[in-house]
Amino acid sequence: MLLKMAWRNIWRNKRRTFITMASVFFAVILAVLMRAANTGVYEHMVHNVVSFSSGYIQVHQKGYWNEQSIDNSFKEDEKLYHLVSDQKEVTEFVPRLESFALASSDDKTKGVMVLGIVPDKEDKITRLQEKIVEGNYINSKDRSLLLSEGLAANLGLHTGDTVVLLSQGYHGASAAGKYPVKGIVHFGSPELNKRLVSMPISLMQEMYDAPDLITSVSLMMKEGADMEEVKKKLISVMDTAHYEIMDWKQMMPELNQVIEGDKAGDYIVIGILYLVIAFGVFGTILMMTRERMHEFGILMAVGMKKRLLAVVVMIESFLIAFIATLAGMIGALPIILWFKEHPIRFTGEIKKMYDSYGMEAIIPLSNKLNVFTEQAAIVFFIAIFLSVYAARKVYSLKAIDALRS
Amino acid sequence: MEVVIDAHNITKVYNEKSIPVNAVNGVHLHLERGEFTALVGPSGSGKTTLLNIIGGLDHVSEGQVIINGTDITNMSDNKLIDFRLNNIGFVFQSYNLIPVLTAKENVEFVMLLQKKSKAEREKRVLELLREVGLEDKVNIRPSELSGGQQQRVAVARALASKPQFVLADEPTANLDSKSASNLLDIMARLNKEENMTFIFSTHDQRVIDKARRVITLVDGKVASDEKR
Ligand SMILES: Nc1ncnc2c1ncn2[C@@H]1O[C@H](COP(=O)(O)OP(=O)(O)O)[C@@H](O)[C@H]1O
Ligand SMILES: [Mg+2]
Repeated sequence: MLLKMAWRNIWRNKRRTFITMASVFFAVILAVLMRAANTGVYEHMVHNVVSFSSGYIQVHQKGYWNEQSIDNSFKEDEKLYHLVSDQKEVTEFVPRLESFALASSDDKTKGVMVLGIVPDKEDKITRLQEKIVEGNYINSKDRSLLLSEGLAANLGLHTGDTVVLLSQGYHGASAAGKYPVKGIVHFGSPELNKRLVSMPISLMQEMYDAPDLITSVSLMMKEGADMEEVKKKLISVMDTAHYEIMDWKQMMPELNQVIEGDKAGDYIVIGILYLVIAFGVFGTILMMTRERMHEFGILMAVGMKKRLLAVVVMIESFLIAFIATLAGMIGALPIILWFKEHPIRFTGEIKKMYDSYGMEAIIPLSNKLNVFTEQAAIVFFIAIFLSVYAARKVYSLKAIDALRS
Repeated sequence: MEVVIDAHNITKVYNEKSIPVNAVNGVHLHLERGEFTALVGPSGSGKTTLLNIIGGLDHVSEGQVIINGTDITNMSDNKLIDFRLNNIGFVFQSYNLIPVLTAKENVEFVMLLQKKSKAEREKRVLELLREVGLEDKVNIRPSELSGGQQQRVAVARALASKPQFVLADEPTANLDSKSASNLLDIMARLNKEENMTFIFSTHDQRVIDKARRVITLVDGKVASDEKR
């Protein structure tokens, strides 16, 4: 009967309840869309950034991250590859060997980063081949390498020219080599663009006297995949005494900070949105309570406990918020799914900027469940908070005073 | 005879701190089971105040209220709610009913609060609605009932909890004379058939004529008390 009463009470003033619900409905849609877009943009950005650099997760020999030396490399391990590729969220994994060297042309020398890669695997992730601006992409058997665009310019080198690399190999062995430049690659990241030398991993292992050794295995996942979950699983199945498993947030804390900072801003905007609805709902609850004082008086006179009356009032605000929120989430779902299929595309300057970073110029929407549950939780708490106020109002009521009004 | 209401020296002063209003002034009231009593007096004579006090809705400034042997003078507001539920039936002047509940649900509600079984509720509610002549309005909401019908539902509700007595503050004030006398006839019949004690305030002479005891208040004091 209490539920029945609450339900009928909220429809006593149909128009008012409808307007209140509509405001919650649209605010929820807006908030869910905003969150979906923000989350989607971050996921997109992260996906792009990590695919050119660290990958979502890397496996190293324990201790490598603190001392990034070729001496902390480890033997390629089929078992490890199996464990990694068993994770169904992992779309691709690439072994890499990474070190430093001095690169010289006839008259210039630069400090460079040398990356040993499996060319066709690497291309699937970083689409390196598309970024060739001069010459051709390498294959795994080649005895030649790729220079980043800025580096080639600094050294005054073109495809077909020879570059000399000088470094220290595994465990102090001397490492030197003379290799033709097969292609020149443009990177969006200025840092990479002026420093990176990529070569087939077997060639690099030979030069550094590090047969079968790699420094990392980088894991790629689907955009928006649950990285924490994969990381947890890996940690549970892998020998963590030997390996360290790191995610991009650990490897690129600055990027994570930028995103978290940005998110805080988004929360403020969404917070204001919710504040606006909260006041709308509050007004309705307040009116619903005010105009029924006499009725409350009657109920208390005939023996209804205040506690019970407060429960009815709480159920009422709850029902309003709940129905509207649910409707809002259901309403937002098709919109999100539609934009997921047909993402908003940037044009003009923004598109150029995205292009230069090799990113698709779109606003992808995330349809992750937590985008919805988060908003539901927020509205839930607002509703609780507001209904508590109304319930307290009822609680402080005296039957005799209520009856007089 | 069994005493239902035993009130001594009831005194109520409003606004004690600013401009005191002596609404009720040393009233003694003694009601026995089965009485059918009218409380009369000019407007402002203290009828509502007195009824609220014996109904456990308001506290006295002085005096003592004993209902069916229980002293409620200093009972807390919260305890009084429960006490009212099980001991006192109320009929107010108007807007007695909960608008979102049907006639049946309005009557049933107090029995629900008393946690009576569904079977018992169904039986008594229909019985009471039949007694007040509304068996065909069971599922109608108050807004679709006439003023007289609404008051009859209120009377049925007042009896539903099987209280010690029913208290009605000007129950006919907003009714036409035909509905008013009809309501009084119903109350009188319930008084006889269920031996239910009634006390009601009024200043309608035709209503007063139906009472078997008439207590007249003037300026918060009992001016006369006659049994007929
Ligand atoms: N809540 C109140 N505050 C102050 N004075 C009141 C209040 N209620 C009633 N009074 C005063 O008490 C007196 C008795 O009122 P009331 O009991 O309502 O009389 P009646 O019901 O006979 O008309 C009147 O003078 C009235 O103005
Ligand atoms: Mg009065």
